[in-house]
Amino acid sequence: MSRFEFYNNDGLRIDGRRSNELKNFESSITTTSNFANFSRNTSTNTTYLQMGQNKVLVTINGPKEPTNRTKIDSNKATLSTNINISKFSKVNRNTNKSNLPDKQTLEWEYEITQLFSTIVVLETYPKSTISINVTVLQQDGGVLSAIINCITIALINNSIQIYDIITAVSIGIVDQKHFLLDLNHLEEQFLSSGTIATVGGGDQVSLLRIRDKFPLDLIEEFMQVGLQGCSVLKEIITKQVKDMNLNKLVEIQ
Amino acid sequence: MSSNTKILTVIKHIDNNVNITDNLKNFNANVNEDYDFSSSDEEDVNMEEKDSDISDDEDELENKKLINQIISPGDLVIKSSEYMKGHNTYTTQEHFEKSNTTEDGNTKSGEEELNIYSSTLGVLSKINKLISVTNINKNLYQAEIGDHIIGQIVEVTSAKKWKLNINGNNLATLQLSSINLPGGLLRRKNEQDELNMKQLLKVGDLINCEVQGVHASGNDINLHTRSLKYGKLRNGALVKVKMGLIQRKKTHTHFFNNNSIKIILGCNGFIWVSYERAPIDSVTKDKGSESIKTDITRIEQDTSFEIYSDINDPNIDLKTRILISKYVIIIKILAFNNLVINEQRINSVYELILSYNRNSGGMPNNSGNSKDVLFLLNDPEVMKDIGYQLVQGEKMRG
Repeated sequence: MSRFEFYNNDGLRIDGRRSNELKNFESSITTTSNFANFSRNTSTNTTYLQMGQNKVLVTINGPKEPTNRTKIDSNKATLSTNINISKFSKVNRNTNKSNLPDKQTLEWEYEITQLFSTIVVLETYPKSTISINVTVLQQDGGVLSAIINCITIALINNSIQIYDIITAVSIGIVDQKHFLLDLNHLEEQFLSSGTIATVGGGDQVSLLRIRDKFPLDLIEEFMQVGLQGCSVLKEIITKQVKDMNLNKLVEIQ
Repeated sequence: MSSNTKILTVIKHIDNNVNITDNLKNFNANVNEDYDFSSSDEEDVNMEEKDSDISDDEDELENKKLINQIISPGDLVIKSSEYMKGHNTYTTQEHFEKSNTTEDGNTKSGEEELNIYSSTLGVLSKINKLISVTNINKNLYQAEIGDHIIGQIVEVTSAKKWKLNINGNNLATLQLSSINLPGGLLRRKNEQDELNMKQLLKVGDLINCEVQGVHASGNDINLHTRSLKYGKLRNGALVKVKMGLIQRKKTHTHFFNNNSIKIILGCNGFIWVSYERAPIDSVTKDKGSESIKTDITRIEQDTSFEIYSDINDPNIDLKTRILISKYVIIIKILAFNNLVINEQRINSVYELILSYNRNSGGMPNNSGNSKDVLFLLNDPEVMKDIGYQLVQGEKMRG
């Protein structure tokens, strides 16, 4: 028994969800300079995602000619990710005075570039770079999953060709038998947890990141929970993306 | 519900006997709520646009019809070996050996099936047997031979080339051999010209040009300015608009306001609004018809040196400047309302603006100054209103 109660007798969690329920998922498209460009949907648009209390902003720069000539790949585009986690994003303010990103952020940057360089159709943009800029405004457990979801939506909004939609959720384990989907920050503190990302809401796992130790025989169920969460999340994302871009369809016709 | 089948209960509650079906219902409700939120947002936007002429139910139905047309990335477009893949699609080849899986030998063994998937958010377009998906968000310009575009010089390379930003994913190249040099059309390019490249066209100059060739599947673009209608741009203002607002047509240069304002609608979303008095000028210069040959060469030299000058015409007074900015605002209004920009619409918006001036003239806090009126037009709500009026006017005419 842990000293922290993760759900009460009715099976409800701290924030009122059930064990297999996702957080509320709201995404929207905004333009960085809504009025200055005099066109509501210019090439530089920002995607905002609120997944529970996670608040993430993603801007995608490119595809464009790289400023650094040495980075040119004549066959395909090069991806680069930059994650900026703001110091006020957590409950306790980050007291680290240096502006350099910490070890975990660097790890995430590497993982995300690896993940999305398989998903973006890089061959269609030779000799160019695509840079992804992520800003985390608020963290509430499962930030990595929120970042991955937001980047997917941003890529679609920027009409960059991708093979499929990637969705990610975080999962936690209670007492080595129960699994919780889409953790909040309290649950993430006390539980052994991990993040799983799948391609197109199917069975193809593209990222599996486990933070802590837990028995290996739990991993099958652990992944199954994640896959189901991802497949639901994929439907939500497609619906929201279509709704976001509906007004542009009217113009085409 | 389709989501019903997908969702399985994950936790086996040993201590609490919670109904599985109850759990599922809750989950579905949660999903629906999420969806309702976003759709209600969308309705609001549409309501504003259509001004509640149509009832909500019909609006929703229409939205659902439109949503069904949209293809998201990763969706299976078609499953057949007959069709070819076009833009924004990709394929995976699946080899089915049906003889292995089914014991009946009536199917063809080793049949190849070509699954075509979409790779962007867009609408399906089918030309004969070519399947392609047209993008909803057109951000980048895809060059085609013969396009009339406007580019900005980014760098001058050592290899007799200029690199231009043309709103695409790569920079376009303009070679020294494909521009008109000062001093006549038929002249050999020598080393002196190569050294003078930076004097002709500098970084930041705007150039009116045409696409000469597209290589390497649209990533290597060559431009040329070998015509009198192309060349360096001055005496005006640049407006950048979203791709897709300008359609390819026979002519992209239009004259307005008694041929005093020239607007170039570049195919790549760059628009140049300028003051030009060209037709009158050529008549006055051709006075001496006797010594034609020498005159022509002299005029050619004069004009061609003029082409590359940096200084704006000093004859442009405040009135014409205001006129230019008026047309700039017209284009901004059209772009703000996501309306396709063409000659007719610019004219009709100009008329609307004139009447709008009169309307605001009745207001108490108007000084009647034309500057203030232009400032008033920069208001998003006014822009929206004018766009709405324009659409209504077009609907009336049919």
